[in-house]
Amino acid sequence: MTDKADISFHISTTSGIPIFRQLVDQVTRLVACQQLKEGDLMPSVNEVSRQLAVNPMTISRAYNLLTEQGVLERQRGIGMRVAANAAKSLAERLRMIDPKIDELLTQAEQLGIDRQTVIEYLKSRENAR
Amino acid sequence: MNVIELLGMERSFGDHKVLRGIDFSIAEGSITGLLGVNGTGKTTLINCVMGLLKADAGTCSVYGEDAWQASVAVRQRIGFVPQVFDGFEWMTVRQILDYTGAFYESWDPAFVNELVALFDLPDESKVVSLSVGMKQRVSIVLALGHRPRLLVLDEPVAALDPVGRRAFIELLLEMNRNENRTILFSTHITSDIERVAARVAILKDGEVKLHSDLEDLKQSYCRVHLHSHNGVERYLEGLTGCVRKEIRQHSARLTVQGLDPAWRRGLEDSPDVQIDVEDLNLDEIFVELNS
Repeated sequence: MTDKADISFHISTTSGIPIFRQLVDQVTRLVACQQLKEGDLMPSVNEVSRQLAVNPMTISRAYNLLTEQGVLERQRGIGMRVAANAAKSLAERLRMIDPKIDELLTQAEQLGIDRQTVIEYLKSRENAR
Repeated sequence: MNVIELLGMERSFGDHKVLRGIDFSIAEGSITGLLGVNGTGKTTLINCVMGLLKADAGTCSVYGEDAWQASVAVRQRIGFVPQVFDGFEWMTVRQILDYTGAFYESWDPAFVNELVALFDLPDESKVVSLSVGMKQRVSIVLALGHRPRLLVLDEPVAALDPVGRRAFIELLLEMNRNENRTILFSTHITSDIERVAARVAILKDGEVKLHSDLEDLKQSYCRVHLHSHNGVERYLEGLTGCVRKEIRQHSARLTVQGLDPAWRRGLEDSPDVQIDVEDLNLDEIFVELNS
């Protein structure tokens, strides 16, 4: 028997990103890095609605989308669990940061910073941490 | 069944036609936020639904009955928080609660006491001595005391402080979650709508210009910024869904509904133009639709 996942969701109501999208992204990230593990029981729609003071329909929508994407699965009479094989391989996790990398490279290009310099800068940052 | 059904509803004050053909319906169990700039007729619409004003033309029905002539049975199912709460100034909070309770079969004194505690209402104070915010709290308790199936609220949070607003929002959600109550409220505070409402309706020029799922709405609108030394005009070809554009020589600021991913990719791959896409929140969408 697995534990009920202890998740502290956070949302921004002033962001242009729909609330259900914000929740989907948070769960997807937590599952990808195995902070949420296969079989973990998710808090119920009503619990999340209460925690965030957000319309329950919005939470349902996030959970439904996560189910469609194979991240969560609905277990009758129990609730939503993290699906088997939902954790991502390294290649899949790298693909998740693709958009950020594209953004970084585009911006570097606009600032006239060549790719090699960006790579070296990333390495120097790693050493600094 | 739709709880509220408005069809071609019109209402004028003298020569001024405030509502010019309202088509709008609300399904059981939904939470809808009604938005509109000052003077667009939000209160007029709500007062028609409440049977406080008579529509000049069209349909205005609540629970299948004409709102103006609704039966007592239908009225008992509705709770209403008006924009301004006045009268009863000589009564104490307790007296006004008891007085109002006498009109409703389903008045729930235990629940009312919970609400009094939740909103920190001074039982024995006279209404006349209360602040605007406190009066609004009293008004909310009066509207909820009989556990209505439908709650209609005209700017219920305008005078509440952030703590009171949050408590009120949590209360609304609780009532919707547990008892599938239908809620319609008007407000200017869009961040409250973002939390609570699943649907949003925007009133403009006497019509409901937009009635949609809030999250779909937010997903569909974005702002696109273009920059190019060669001029931006030629990049606008093939752009669809543009609701507003400000074009200068080397830059453009576009508000787009349903941005075409192919058009976006084309520009992202083009070295001569820089494209930035920004998500819009409800506040920004509201401003865009009204400018």
